[in-house]
Amino acid sequence: MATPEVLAEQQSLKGINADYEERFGFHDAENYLYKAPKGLTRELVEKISEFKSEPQWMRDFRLKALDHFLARPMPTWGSPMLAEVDFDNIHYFVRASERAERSWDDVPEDVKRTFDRLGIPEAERRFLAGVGAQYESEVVYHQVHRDLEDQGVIFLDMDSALRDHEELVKEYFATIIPANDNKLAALNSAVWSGGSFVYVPPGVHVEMPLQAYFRINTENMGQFERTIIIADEGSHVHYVEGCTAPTYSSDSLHSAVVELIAKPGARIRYTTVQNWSQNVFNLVTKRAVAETDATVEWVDCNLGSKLTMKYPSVYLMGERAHGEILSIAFAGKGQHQDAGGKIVHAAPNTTSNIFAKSISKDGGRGSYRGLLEVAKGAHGAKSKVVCDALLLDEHSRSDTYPTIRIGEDDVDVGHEATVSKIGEEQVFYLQSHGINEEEASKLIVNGFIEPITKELPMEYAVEMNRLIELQMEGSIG
Amino acid sequence: MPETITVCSIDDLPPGAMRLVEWEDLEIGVFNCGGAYFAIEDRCSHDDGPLAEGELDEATCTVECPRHGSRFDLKTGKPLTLPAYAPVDTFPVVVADDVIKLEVD
Amino acid sequence: MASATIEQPGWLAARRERAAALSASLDLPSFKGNPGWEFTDISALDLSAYAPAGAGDAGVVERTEALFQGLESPHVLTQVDATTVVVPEDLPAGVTVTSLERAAAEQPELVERHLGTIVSDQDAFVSRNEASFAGGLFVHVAADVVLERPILVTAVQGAARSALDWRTLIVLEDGAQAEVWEQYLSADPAQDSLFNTVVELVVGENANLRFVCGQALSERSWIFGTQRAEVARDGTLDWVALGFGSARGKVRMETKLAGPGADGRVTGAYASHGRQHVDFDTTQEHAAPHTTSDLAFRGVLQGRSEAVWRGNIIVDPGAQQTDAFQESRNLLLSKKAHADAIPGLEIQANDVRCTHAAAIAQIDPEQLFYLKSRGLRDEAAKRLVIEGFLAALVERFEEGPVRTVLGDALERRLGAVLDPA
Repeated sequence: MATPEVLAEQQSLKGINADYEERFGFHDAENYLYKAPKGLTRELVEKISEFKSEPQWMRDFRLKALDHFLARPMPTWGSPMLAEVDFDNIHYFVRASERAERSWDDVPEDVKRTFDRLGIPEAERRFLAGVGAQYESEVVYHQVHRDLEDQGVIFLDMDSALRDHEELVKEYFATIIPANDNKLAALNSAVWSGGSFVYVPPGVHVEMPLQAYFRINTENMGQFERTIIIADEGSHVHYVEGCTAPTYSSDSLHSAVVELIAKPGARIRYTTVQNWSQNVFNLVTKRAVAETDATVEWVDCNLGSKLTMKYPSVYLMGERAHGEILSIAFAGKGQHQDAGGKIVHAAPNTTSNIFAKSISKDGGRGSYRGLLEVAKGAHGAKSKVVCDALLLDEHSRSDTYPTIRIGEDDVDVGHEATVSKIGEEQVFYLQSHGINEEEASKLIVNGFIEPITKELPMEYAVEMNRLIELQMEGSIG
Repeated sequence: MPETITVCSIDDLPPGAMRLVEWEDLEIGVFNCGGAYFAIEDRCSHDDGPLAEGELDEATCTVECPRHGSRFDLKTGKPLTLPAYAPVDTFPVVVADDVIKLEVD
Repeated sequence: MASATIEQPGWLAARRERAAALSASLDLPSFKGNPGWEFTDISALDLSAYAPAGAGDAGVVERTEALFQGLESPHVLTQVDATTVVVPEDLPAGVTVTSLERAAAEQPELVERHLGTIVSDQDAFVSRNEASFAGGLFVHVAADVVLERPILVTAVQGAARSALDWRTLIVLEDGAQAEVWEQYLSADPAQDSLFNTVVELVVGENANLRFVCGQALSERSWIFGTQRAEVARDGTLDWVALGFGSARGKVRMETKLAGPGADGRVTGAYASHGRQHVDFDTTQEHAAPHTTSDLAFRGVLQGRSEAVWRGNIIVDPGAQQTDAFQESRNLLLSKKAHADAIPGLEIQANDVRCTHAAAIAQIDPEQLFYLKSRGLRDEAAKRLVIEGFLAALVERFEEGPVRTVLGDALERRLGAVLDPA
């Protein structure tokens, strides 16, 4: 198994981990961080910034964000489980190599079993379990990266991007989600580490989806990832984050911040498949701006974690911009998926769709929380929101909390939500065709989510279907 | 025909300072940003709460809303960061005989 | 203020005292951080500016335009400010319709058994109402008695700068049937007053209640309403709300389907203009299996008016075979009108069918085009579309007096909103 240091030596691409040696040069910071105590202090934030050799403005930004975080109370809405988050009991920075030292043996049985059943190869399993393995398709990976470079696409981890493209990063960083936007964004702003930075030049269409683990950087499994994607005029890019296989994490709090900007005529699709282990609180702020004639699509699948609170949003700031949010949430035993989306129509002739599907089983709770806002002046706005929920048994729960605010008369806005169970007639029909009840239920559930899974890259869609089937059998968690 | 209201003397508004003025049902924040004067509605368009007590950045002549961090350009009233997206009103500032005045409609 | 002429029973006096203490300790809900109040700012409300309603002048009634016109020989109860001026005389056996204060004095056990059991007084507006209500309405229909003629209840606020706390308690025993129309009116369309109503509806097993509640208060008045119904096994409730008057306020309407087979249908309409701010907060709670509910609200907004509609469907664990439906539609007629719709679902039983829908739009240009192509002028075509939009609500009712009276009330309101004076 290759260690990160070996990997670093093997990289020939400029900008990817080339500074690895440099980063480990600050010995005192390194020692401090290696033994970083739990809890969040000003000193820790300063050390993180020092360790990463960040410019002064970023250090100041982090410290101010820390002040905001400490001053803000925890939100009182959402899940009652939020009260369980103990901020003093979390390690806010774990050095990359420390992560890599965790062994495959530490990964829980149920997670290992799922990998087997999903047919995921050994090396990839280790990697996905956060153990830091060499991804098998390294050769493919290198080739893809060369192609991107030729097109002028920047695709780096955020730490490297800050170092190599400081002005570009500074232009956009925290302009969509300011440090003080909410408590968790403030936390992320203070201690962020890792995440992706993507810049696509005008007119460039990136054909294949950019995947987070193409970065081969153990900061992947970061608790506090910070991602920015800028699609310049007329460009197209599809970014995929996460994986269907369960991602084991000993970190109990994951709080990422994702900012997307689609410039005129550009198109960004951001796909997330979240399947964190069941000890994780996943509290994320994701927001996008779509300018004139631009499109932003969020495809958001939430399978894991103990509690996820995540409402990807699109601000339609330019005429004829379009926003789309496709969301699947699966809430099993002990889980609360509190997801949804937010769309703001702030310019004329903008359109949007929100399509959310949720499944609750074994006492799980699936909630949809959304906002659809049409500002004054955004005439000609058209929007449709459809939320469907499937409750698989009598112990589970589904909530729908949409808010619609309309300040303009020339609009066409519709919202529908339905909650139901698997229809007996449907099951009966399938049974009469020789399919047993369990199979029939799985088929129906897959059919229920099909409108969204068909938007996923194929290998995800296939794995997703398999994973849902496994969840239905109750063999996970 | 715009009306002019008196704010204060220039001694009472040194660089980096802000004064709140009320006119009819509006509250307006008057700023001295590095020697130049600006006046902006005391309202963040994100939640209609107060704006002017937020942090003033003299380098960029912006004020940051204390509740969710949107930064507003004092010259144009436009928000430079989300979550606010709608601009707020600005008012021309006139200095005559060492007295700062505002033009309101 | 309680009437001086009726002897108040001890238990009621004690209740009022507790409520007064509670009311003094509770702040009015602010729109910041108070779930349910986010879109309605009542910070301009100064309770001390409104004197409690005093004795009323019966003569006001004939000078005040009724909201519900044309009901066939109803049993009539009318109150002006704090004075009950008309009570029905010709009631059949087993039926009581009188002021609540009088009922508390004459049938104390009956009233005490039900008063305050449907609406909780842990609320700024309810506790105030409990402490201060005068007159009010009590309707009781004994088991299996069917009341043929409708009851028409009118509360007129005659005095400016006054606060009228209006309290209704309607109890239908098992198998009973009745139809109650309640209207809140202002003597002077320009008066600034406060109307605070609490309504409790008890629908017994297999009983059938139709409750039509409309307000056409002056457009400078405050309205606060806390209205709640509990429907027992196989009971049915047909509840209609019309929100035409008032400047600002909030009306909460909750229906609990408490026994298997219970059914609750709720229909609401509003048409606003000027700077009116209308707020309806509805809940359909399914607390037993095999219950059904159907809620439909429609509103037309003109001028700079605003409407907030919040609607919750709650299905408790075990309430299997629930069938719940909720729909809200708003027609925006001007650029400055604003509508907020917050439909909600909280479902904890799985063998259910729950659907909600909300739509906000302007007049469909295609519909308009079609009508104009049939020779109608622009204004007439628009009017027809708007009327059709609201008529869809009226068509939920069987042909007959209900349709006629409701349709007529809607038409008159549309005239007031669409045709500039």
